[in-house]
Amino acid sequence: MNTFEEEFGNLPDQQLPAATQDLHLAYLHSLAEQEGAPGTGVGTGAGRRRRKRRWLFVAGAVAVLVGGGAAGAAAAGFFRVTDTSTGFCYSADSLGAVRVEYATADGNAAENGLDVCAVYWRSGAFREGVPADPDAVPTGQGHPVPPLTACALETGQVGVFPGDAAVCGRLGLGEYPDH
Amino acid sequence: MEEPAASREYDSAYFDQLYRTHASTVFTHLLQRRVSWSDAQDLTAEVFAITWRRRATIQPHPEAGMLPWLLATANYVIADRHRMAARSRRALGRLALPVPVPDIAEDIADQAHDVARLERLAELLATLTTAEQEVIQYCTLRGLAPSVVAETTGEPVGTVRSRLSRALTKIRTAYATQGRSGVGE
Repeated sequence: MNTFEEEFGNLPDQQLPAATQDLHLAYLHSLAEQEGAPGTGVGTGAGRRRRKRRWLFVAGAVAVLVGGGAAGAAAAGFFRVTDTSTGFCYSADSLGAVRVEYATADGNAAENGLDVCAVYWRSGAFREGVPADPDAVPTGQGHPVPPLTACALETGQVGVFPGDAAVCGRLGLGEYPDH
Repeated sequence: MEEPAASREYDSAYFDQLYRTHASTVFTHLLQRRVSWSDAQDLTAEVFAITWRRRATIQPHPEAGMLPWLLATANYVIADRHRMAARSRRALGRLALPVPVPDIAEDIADQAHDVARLERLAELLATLTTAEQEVIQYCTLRGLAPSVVAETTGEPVGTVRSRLSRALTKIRTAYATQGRSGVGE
């Protein structure tokens, strides 16, 4: 009788259909063209990340302005999670922080947000006091996971922030689950 | 096909060759983890798209090249497969290209090749935890050394070795049981 290694150790790879390979290569070429980087553009990825951060910063500033007024704060308290298709992991307790959108296999991104976002912290993709890279791939393990709290964003999605239960109120967001 | 030589000039030609060298490996890695055939195709594209976007910070392993990174990225997209597959599908759909019409007979013939064994392997892997499945795929199925895996995942090499030992014990037992019960035959 064969061993596991004998039977499966040299199993040949499945081949992608040629048409699929052509489509994938066209996709990769389109990414290069979007960046206008026919040569390399090692710096162009960083440029894109800078633009993303700037956009997120503006979004955060708007939220602070809205949350700063009494009417805005009152409205923020009524935010409820109504869209569970995706959620956001925030790399700091700020609406302007770098964030990553996620979805989960069961379609309930809100309920699983704490578990999903803990992966980003545990992997080191998010670290306290270190600017996060929105394209970071959470492949590592063993990094500390801070206390995480799920809040209801203005968009109706869940946002998971590092911090205790008071973080939602501090950011002018609703609590999740709401009480 | 040989992996292209490591270079700071990660241009389109480099990625073409990287894709042609490793796309089927990534595709198979995904299928081994019970990702559906169509999702595995979309996710393969996404693995290389992520690699392209991250090219400024990736350092190919001096011995193993880009393979450990690609497999680690495949593991990442497996964990987030629905969002990733949808993203890839949208991106592929936006391309102003003729829709590929595959040769169905050729496709079926390709897919039938060793599919039964692949399905049995996927069944066996599914008896392990995710981390155990990954270490079996890295080390036993792809021949990467535990030290390479440790460098890729950021874990201590002793942790990888002990996980591999535990995973091998479990999967060998499952394999022997499968053989006795005739599961998958």
